[in-house]
Amino acid sequence: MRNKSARRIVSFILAAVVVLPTLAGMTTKADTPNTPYDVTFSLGSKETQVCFNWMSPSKGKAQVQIAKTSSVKSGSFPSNSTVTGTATATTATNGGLGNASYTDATTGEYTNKATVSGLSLSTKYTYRVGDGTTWSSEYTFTTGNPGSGFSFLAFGDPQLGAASSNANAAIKHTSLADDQAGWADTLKKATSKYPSINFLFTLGDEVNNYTDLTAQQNEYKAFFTPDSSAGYLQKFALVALEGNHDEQLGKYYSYHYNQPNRSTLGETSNNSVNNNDGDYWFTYGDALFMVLNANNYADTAAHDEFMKQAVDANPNARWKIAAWHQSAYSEASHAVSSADDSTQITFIRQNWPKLMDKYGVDVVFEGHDHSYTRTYQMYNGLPVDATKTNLVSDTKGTVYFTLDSGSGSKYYDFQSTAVHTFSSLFWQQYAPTYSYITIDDNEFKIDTIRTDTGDSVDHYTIDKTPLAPASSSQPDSNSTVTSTPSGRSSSSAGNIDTGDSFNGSIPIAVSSTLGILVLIAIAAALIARRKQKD
Amino acid sequence: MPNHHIKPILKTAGIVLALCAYVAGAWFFSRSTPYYNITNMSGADRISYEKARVLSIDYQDVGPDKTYRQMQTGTQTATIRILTGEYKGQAEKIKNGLNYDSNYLLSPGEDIIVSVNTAASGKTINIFLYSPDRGPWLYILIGLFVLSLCAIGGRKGFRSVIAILFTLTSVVFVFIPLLYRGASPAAAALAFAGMTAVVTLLLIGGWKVKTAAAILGTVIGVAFSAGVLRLFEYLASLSGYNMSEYDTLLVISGHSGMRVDQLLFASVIISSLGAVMDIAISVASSVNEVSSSDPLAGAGRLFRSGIRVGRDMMGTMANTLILAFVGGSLNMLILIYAYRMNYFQIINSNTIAIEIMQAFSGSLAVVFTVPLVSLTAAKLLTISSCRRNGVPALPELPSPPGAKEPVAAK
Ligand SMILES: [Fe+2]
Ligand SMILES: [Fe+2]
Repeated sequence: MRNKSARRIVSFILAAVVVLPTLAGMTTKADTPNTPYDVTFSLGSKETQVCFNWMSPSKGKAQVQIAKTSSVKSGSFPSNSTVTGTATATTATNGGLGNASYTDATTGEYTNKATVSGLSLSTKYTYRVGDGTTWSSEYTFTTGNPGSGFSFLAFGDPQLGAASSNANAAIKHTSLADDQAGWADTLKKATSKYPSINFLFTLGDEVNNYTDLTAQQNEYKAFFTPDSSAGYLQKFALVALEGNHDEQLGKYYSYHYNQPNRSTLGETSNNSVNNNDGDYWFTYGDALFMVLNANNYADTAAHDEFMKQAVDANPNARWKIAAWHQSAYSEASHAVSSADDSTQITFIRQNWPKLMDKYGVDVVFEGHDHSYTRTYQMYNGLPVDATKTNLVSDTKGTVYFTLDSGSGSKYYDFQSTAVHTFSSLFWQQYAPTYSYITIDDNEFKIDTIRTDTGDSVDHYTIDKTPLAPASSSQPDSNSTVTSTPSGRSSSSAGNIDTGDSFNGSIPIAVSSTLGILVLIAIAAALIARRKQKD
Repeated sequence: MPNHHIKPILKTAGIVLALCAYVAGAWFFSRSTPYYNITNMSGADRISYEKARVLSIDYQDVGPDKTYRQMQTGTQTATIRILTGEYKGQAEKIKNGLNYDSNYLLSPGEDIIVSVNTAASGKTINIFLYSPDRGPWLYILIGLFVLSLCAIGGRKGFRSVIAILFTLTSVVFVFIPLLYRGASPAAAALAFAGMTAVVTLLLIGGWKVKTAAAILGTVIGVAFSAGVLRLFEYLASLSGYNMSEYDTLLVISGHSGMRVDQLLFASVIISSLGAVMDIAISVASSVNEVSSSDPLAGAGRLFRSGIRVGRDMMGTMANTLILAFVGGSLNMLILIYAYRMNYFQIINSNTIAIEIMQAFSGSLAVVFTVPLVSLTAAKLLTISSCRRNGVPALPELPSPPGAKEPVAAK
């Protein structure tokens, strides 16, 4: 009996050893097919290049199949249309940054990156991404021809998952699903109104959760695929940057984007792990875009060095555009001295514009304060001309835009106690907005639109005198400002005219303090004398 | 009497022991404060704040601002010598912008503070003016305050300095670390208020019955206002989440478990503590005065005298609190006036609602401290004066049960 049962057990174990691994192999394949998600592509360093990025549950070949749409026949790509990239296991500082007791751990996902070069201009392409076996859906996009100008849409903090129900907002957000619906709505309205844009630009805080990996994973899915049937972020190239929320899981942010010319300059680091989130640049048409990481706010020397490299590499850029998350010039909750990140914001306001002055940056895009502010042309920390206008020509200085929420997930209120001396226009009507920007050789134009009504919130134009055929561009030109008073005063109670006044009363303060001190001294002497007498 | 020799020794030993316990406690609490890397810099990049001296102004274009005529704006270029840190002794050129965010007109010989930021390559160094070197002036002002307090206040003044020192150090080394590490801010604030009241009032009032009464009154007064505040916070839906911008506080809370929601409560308790202590010691002192001039005065008389003095004071005291909050939010009030903001908007804005909550729950504490301290002082003083005089307490107020035995003793 004993022998028999022992033999039975042994054979069972043997069978299990043989069978189980195959079973396991089969189940993992069957249960979790390696379906790509968070599919996105960024602009390359040139218009003929795009950089793909997607996540996958397991490690595969990281392939993009891409071909001119005209040559893709019913799901079959021409033979030479496969580009292979790399798949890398992703890590995150689950639990949040900054605390020495948190370390990076793998998240059980893979990031896939592949760069495709040599694309033709003004051409429709079809692509899909995958591991060679399991593929994403097919998507199409059209390359631009920015020689004759180009356009893009910009959005402030989509911040999927913030679900912050501002009392003043008509549409309340109480869940990730609400944020996702808001984001889908904005993208739908913006891209159907401007279908020929060349790319989308989000200004940080793409996701919201600070500490929880699972929550952030869901938020990334909602950000990249707010509406799976529409595939907005798979149809258009996306330029994204890192906000304070995206930074919180450390390196995890960097696995979601494939950014061109990314530098180690300006990257953040926590617990000695560098987060691969440094500054990067790209050119489109004759505009140079410099995308800076303001989470590393104090390291202006690094950003300075990066901007020098970017500008040196593109000496003929006609327009210089910078973007970062934490706004230097905004007027809502982050702008007050009691804001808990006011040290950072104050530092950025006092010092970052010096770099913009130095490199002759024309336009800056920022987010973080979930409200809209357009500054005057600023130079040396001062308005070049504090006359309200919607059009400047051959002007000096930099205009700074802080964009309001793109999804409606969160809004901050106007703060009357903040500084407003730089502000030409403030707007907060608690509705999602997007900005439509067009750039050609001689004109930069921005129109900011609220998604609920489709009305214009603000518009602004910078003109440059056409170049004489031979000469190259003149950065930071000091010509005169032509301010044309605009016929249109943009909407509503959101517009606030502001000014601080200052008083140089230091001598009075000093003399009165001295006076009081003298009085105190006399009183002390008198008391001492009386005490002695007693 | 051996008692006379033992008492000072015991007292000194007690003080030294308490001091040691305090320093050890402070060290323990603040020691393991978790590290939070706020600058986020990578690699060998670094920033530090250093002292420097202006050697010369090489270029200056400064004049009245185009919009705000009283203000000087423009630019200066200065040569400075760095006096501390990595680049100590080196002369550097800096550009100083005078604008709305930073507005210091430099002159040769002046000491300033600069931020010195170096990229890892060592090729790029950013030196920016941070501020004039204010430190020395602040120290002089503090020094003058301490000196005048001692000169005019004498021994009491010196004791007050110690009390202030204690309050400041316990905020920095005990209270803040406690909050940071996730202690309930409400509990921490109450404990801190109690501790501060005990030490401050003992130092200033001395080891006397009136001090005990003031301490009891303060602690109960603060606890009472805490209860009221809690109730109205709940009713008005206010919490730490409504304090300005709390994103970064939330990040920190993610690491350390700090309770952001109760921070508002803690801040109100702390800001009203001073006034409550003030009125508590004044009422207790005056009750004590009446009791010592008339040792036979009954508890009822003492209580009424405390209330009378308190009545005079509570109005001005509550006013003090409200004026302090007005002073703190003067800029905001001016702006509200200037913008002619809507009534509902004003009264319901987070900032204003919080200010009102702070001012009035603190004042409420002041008001209720008066009867509380009058009662405790009257009770305690009658008991102790009876003990001294061997006369039973007058039955105007019932004695607490524990107090009966000592009356008969000795
Ligand atoms: Fe945000
Ligand atoms: Fe942000």
